[in-house]
Amino acid sequence: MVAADYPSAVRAGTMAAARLHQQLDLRQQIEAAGGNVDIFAAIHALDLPLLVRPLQGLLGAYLSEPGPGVLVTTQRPMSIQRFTAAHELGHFRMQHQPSLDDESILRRMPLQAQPTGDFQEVEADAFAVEFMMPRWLVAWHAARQGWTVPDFRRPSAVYQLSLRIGASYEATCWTLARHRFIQPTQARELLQTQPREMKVALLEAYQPQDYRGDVWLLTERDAGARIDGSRNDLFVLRLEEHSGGGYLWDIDQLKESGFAVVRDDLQAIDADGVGGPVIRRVTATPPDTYRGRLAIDERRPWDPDPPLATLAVDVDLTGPEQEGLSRAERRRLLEAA
Amino acid sequence: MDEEERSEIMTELAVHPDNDDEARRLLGDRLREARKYLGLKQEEVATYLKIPRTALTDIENGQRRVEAIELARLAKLYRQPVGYFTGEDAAASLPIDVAHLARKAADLSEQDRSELGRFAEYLRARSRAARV
Amino acid sequence: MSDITISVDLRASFGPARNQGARPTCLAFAASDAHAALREGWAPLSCEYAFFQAQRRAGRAPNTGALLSSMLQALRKDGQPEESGWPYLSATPADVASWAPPREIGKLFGRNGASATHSIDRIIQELDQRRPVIVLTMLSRAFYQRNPQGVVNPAPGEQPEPDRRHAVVAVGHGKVDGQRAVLVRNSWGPSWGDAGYGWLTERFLGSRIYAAATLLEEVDVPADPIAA
Repeated sequence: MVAADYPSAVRAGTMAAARLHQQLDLRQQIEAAGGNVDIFAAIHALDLPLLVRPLQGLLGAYLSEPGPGVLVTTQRPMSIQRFTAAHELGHFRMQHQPSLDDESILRRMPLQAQPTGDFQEVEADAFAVEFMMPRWLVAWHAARQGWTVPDFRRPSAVYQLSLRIGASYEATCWTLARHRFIQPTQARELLQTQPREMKVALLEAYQPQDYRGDVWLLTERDAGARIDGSRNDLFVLRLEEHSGGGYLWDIDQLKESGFAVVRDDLQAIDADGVGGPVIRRVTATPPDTYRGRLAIDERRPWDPDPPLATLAVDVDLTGPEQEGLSRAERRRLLEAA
Repeated sequence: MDEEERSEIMTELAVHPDNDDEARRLLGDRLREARKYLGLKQEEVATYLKIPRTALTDIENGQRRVEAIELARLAKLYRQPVGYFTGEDAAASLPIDVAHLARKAADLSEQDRSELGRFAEYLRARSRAARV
Repeated sequence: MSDITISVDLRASFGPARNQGARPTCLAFAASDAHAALREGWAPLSCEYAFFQAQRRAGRAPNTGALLSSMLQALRKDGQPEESGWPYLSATPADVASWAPPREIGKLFGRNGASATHSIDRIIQELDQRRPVIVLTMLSRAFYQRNPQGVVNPAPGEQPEPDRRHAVVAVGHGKVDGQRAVLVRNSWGPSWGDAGYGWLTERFLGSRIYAAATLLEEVDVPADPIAA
């Protein structure tokens, strides 16, 4: 039964998403391993057929006959593919009528958007927001990164949050407002800054061919984290380096993993003292469709002793989803074989 | 396994068409199409089947006979009934009209409409495979 | 192998090289070791105490580097006990408020000091007088490489890195492959260079040294600085 009014529909969608999180034990998994809500893996776990296909006008579709199934377009960035898949999963979980979904699912994100009278869609929207961007996930990443509420007014922090929860910058801004971390007016202020500007600022002098890829700012706070990105993404590492004690980050380890270091410089923390730490800033472009564990050590280069610190992250830069089965399903099928 | 054993478990491929070569070619075409629809690479599927990639190429080109076990495993991987590939599943060929779904998206492009139809056919075969 | 000719070598006045770990305490080690070398026999002095007093005087946090002026002031006005008075901490205390000298630290040794012209000529002059010199230098790649002879000579095109600053003690001079060089005692443990010592060639040090100081006569300091 689809809700009969707007608030009930939002509530129903939100609750259905929370129930599914519980059923799949997602919160515990993410709080242990980091990363985002793997929507495609969840869909596969429910044995809901899903294919990614080159849809043009549609972002996705949910069919219920001859059996339930979800289509998601190849033609959008990963964040939109994820949101679309979450929306279609909402239709499935709430036993909705078949639905062909276009841009309107994104246009309904802003809090003050004209509410649609189609409560089935309201339910699926609320489901998608809660399933992909629950409050606890935002709070977990904020705690991890040391962000407090005032940081959510800084576009650069919100952009990095959006990458870590696997949502678009815009969706993240509205979600912060929905969860009341910020005011709706502040969400609109955040949206005055385009992700492109933040990428340019992070990359400084380095100019990629285009600014479509995202730019991950990685620090010690990301140690042990999962990085789920896309093919053209770039890394900017910003690491405290105890070079006054002889310790340097071994950037060659990045190169050994196939990354190209396009920029490597230092930023002073302290202009006066002698021997204090510095900030090592390294910009690296990953090899094509990189997937693996990236580890770099801070060590005394001449000394075989164990490293002082290690930054290890599990990186998957194979997004967005390509034509056919989702990566999650593909891996379960083929890597288990 | 020697040639004799191999022939014993060889599938009785489609009754019609009566030409074996033609039947193998059609089977190969359907297998290739199903693989591509799911976005799987020949290498991936060959590894899954534990056969050389060239063997899969030959199967898809109708130049190699498919063992029953291989066909069953392929059907399982592609989530379709074996009959879908051998042409015995007559319903598989009936197109599904998704026009009734298009109630809200009046400007559905021709490409999207055909993707929806193809997906509905996939779902139908898949649900039949699940029942087998 | 480099050909090393030694003119002056004060290493005998020092004990084994010490290890500061990852903390920003190189200047405290350089000053403490230069100080201890001037005393009769080798008894290492407390770097923790010197660093603590220098940071206190400059209002600087324990996770930042020290200033030469406040380090000299600390040695002159606060002095420092022997190492056993306040042994070196392996890590910066997480809680800054808990960072304080123990109640009983033993006798404090004070020493006057003055900054000196930071030129290789001046350092060699001081060493010829058998006085070690505290040397503040920028670093670059060559300083971090493994070299059992301890020779630190920059690669062609290797530039000084002004943000990587370090303090060592000049304890000798000579020539490395015909090039003037200063022998320094580092505080990165005995695995660095030649048992913790290295030869900084003129090509390395000439463009990187940015300050120097020498320690002078012994001075009296108040016995109980905490009560003072």
